[in-house]
Amino acid sequence: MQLRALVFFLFLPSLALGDQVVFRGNYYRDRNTRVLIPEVEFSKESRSGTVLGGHYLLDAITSASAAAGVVTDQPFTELRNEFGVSVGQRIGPARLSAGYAYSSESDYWAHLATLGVVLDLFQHNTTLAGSIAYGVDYVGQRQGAGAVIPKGSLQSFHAILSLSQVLTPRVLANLSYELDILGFGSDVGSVSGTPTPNSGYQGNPYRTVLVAGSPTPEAVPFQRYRQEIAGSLHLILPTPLRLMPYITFRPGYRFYFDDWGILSHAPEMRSYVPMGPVELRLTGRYYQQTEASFWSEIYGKPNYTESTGKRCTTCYFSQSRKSFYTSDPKLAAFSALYFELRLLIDFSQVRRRPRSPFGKWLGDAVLEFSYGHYFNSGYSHTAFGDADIGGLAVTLPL
Amino acid sequence: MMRAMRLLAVCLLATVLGCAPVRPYEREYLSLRPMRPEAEKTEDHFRAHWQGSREGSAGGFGAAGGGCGCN
Repeated sequence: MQLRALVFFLFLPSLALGDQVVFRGNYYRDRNTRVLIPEVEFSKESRSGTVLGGHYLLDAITSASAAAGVVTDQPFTELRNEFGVSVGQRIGPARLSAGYAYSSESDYWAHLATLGVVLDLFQHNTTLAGSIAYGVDYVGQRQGAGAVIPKGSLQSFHAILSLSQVLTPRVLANLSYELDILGFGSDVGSVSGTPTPNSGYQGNPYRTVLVAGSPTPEAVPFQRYRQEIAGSLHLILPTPLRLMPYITFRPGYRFYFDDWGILSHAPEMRSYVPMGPVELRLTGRYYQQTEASFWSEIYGKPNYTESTGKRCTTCYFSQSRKSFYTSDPKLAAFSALYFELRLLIDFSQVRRRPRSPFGKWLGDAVLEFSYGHYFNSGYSHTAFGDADIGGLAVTLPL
Repeated sequence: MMRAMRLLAVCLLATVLGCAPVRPYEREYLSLRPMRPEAEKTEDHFRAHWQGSREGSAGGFGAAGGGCGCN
């Protein structure tokens, strides 16, 4: 989770947020876990075309247990700090960028470095972007007050290629491909955590699973190749109404597959309806995934009857010779639905009031509220239940 | 798989080459917030964060931006 967060933030360092600062408070709650996430992000471009960016966020996690699917619960509260910086430079139609992010909590530390390039072509009608990133994570296991036992580390490589194309004055298309290689180095072929967990630890040290009737720490493959292809359209339909001058639709679809045997489809639709200074956005998303090839479930719960677990029959490399076992709900087959409503208030009307002392500045500000509900099925629902997600954000110009 | 990749490549090429350039004065709608892929980056980051903790897949958020031409 930490790694993914870092990857996402730094994979788009070269995208111009505009000269602005965003203060955001996020809220997530499911049956076992409640997370409060205050964060701040800024971006500023100088006249010479240098773009500086940065972010900081805090995850305040209160959970019934350290890992979903554990046999005995141990309530805990934990803080995760994350910060990132990026710098970019425009050179003609290109923008080069570099970034670094760091995440720290009591038993997990992650570093990620990124390089990116964006090309604006054909009078801004075509935008090509590419990014690569290298990450190193260190994983530990808490043992009582203050003591942490090192469990292993994880090296990762990530690459994204993306294209945005203006099709007509009212239609924009996006297409992207992403490759993530998690775990590589001298230990390829090892089970995560054994015998030397130096470059591919991908398990959860707190999660256990029933293997031949006994609770056993999970063992997942050392290496994972993940690939995603995503596309979306932005369509705007003008209307003759003054109060609601247009409606925008943003249909999207993501196809994902990896060598652990998980394959997923995620169609999504976002609709934007402006009504004066307020914009309503309704989001609907469907998600479906298959189970990992080494997943085993009996009567709706992860359980392995063989003492050796199951082989990863889909793994690209030598992991298939080993056997694995896990109770990670994310590796089970399930489907999910997500609905969200966002209310956005635009302060551009304030700019028209000449006597307002902050009129011009406040005129570019935006206030957002959002609430969403996540429904899911299968063992994932048994372990997590549904989830409520909320957000409150203020965007101010710099 | 190769066939699908070839089809994708052809579609991609057709998309890029088959469009008449949109002029700067025709970008009124493209400059609006809902038409800018990067406008919801911070929010999408949070979504990727919690969805990554619930789902076995990840990624696919790498839109390149563009469209506005405001810079």
